[in-house]
Amino acid sequence: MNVAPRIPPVATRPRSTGPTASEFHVVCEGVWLGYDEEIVLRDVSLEVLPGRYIWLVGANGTGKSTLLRAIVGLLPPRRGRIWRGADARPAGYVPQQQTLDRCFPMTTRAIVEMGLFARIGPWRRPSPTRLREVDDWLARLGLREHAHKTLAELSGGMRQKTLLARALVTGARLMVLDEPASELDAASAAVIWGELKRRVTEEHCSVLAAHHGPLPEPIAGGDEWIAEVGRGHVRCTPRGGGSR
Amino acid sequence: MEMLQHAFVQRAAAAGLLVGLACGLLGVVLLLRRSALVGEGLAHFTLGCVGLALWLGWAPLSLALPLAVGAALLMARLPERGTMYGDTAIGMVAAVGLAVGTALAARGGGFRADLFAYLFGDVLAVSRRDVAVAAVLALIVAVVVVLRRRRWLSVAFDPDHARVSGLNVCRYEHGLAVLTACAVVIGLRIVGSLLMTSLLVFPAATALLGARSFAGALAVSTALGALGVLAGLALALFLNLPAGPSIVLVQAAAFAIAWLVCSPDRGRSRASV
Repeated sequence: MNVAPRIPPVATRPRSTGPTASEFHVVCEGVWLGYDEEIVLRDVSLEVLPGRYIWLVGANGTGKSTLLRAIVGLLPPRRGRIWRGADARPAGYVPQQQTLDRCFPMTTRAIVEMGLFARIGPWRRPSPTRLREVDDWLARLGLREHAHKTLAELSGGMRQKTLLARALVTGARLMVLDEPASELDAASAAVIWGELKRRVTEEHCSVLAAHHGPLPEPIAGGDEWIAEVGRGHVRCTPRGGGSR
Repeated sequence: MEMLQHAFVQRAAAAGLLVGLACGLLGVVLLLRRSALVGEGLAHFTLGCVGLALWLGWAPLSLALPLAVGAALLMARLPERGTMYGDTAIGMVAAVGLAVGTALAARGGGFRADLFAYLFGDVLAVSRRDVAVAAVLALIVAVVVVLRRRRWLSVAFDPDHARVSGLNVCRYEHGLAVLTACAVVIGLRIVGSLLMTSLLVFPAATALLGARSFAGALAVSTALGALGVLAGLALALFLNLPAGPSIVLVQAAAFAIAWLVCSPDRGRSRASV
């Protein structure tokens, strides 16, 4: 298994080349990504600023998940650099759920509690306040009555909601979501989009989400971008017009 | 009960209990990481180390332990470069170990019988020193696995999430390999190289049949590992059977019973509610 490289400290990034560390969550500069001999994405430049919502769209196999994995530090770039902002808290990451072992002996509630590790460390027991957050998210996503079931006993949509709840309780400033609503019902998707929108507008968190299908309603006055991934490149445009 | 008064039986029971505890704990992590064959590969490799030690005239465990730890790290590191799968590395390291062991057995004379004792296990040969070494290594395994169980849980369930959360997953994988090497070395005397895998696989597989939590699986597997070894030793003494196969058969029977009891009603195979 490959070792994920430590992302270089942002403080060394020259101020003249763009926003300083406190002004962004992630900046990709001329990043090339690939596996073995194959290059999947070339010369990707992307700025994930606080309060920015970026939708990654594109056909299957174009490299959306690859880019998200690189941004959370799971895939080292072949060329270029990925800078993380001064807020070094781990990202709230939702992978595609097919990668998980459904037979793992762990209840839904225990999986969601794992999201607290990034805040309190795996040594300490979660405080009652943190545990209430877990309960709250289980209830909001309709998982309360399934809290004691294992992944194998959940439907695909419930598994997806479990992983989303795990990411939401991390309190991360940067949310990186790989097709988070692909198996959600409309009501649950609305809860998720509503919460992400609230975090972006009120808490200046940023969201980077790979998405298939129609996008949710735009955020009024929000800093929303669409990153089209295809033919080895990423093209960013503000949602609603313009080019970058 | 008279048998229990013999010192060799007490030593075998003590060492077996410690080995069963350590393997029960490690087995759960190994099975959930889909690394059950690491124990098999290390057991075969260690036989070669024992052959080398006997040929050199050294104490087997003193050479086998550091070499097994080195082999375990090699097995863990070879696939990291992405040039091979994990089981390929296990197969290669195990084959080299076995080749060394059998080559030296062919060259040497008098120590062949000793080597076979490590191949199939020999409870009569368990010394006080073996018990002491088993106690130290089992304590290390228990402390590392139990105290860090939430980290092991995170690494075993979703290594990507663990990395993103800031855990050094490679360090845990290397640690697991080293601890497995320790467990294999201390288990050689009891069940031998050929049957060592059963100590790592059966208790954990039995516990995982009905487990709904990682901590629960660790507790049940540890208890089954220890009880299985003691029951197997008792069976061997009363029926005059070799200890290694008796332990394996007891643990296999426990798994079969648990499978019959748990399997039909388990929700593991259900894809949805």
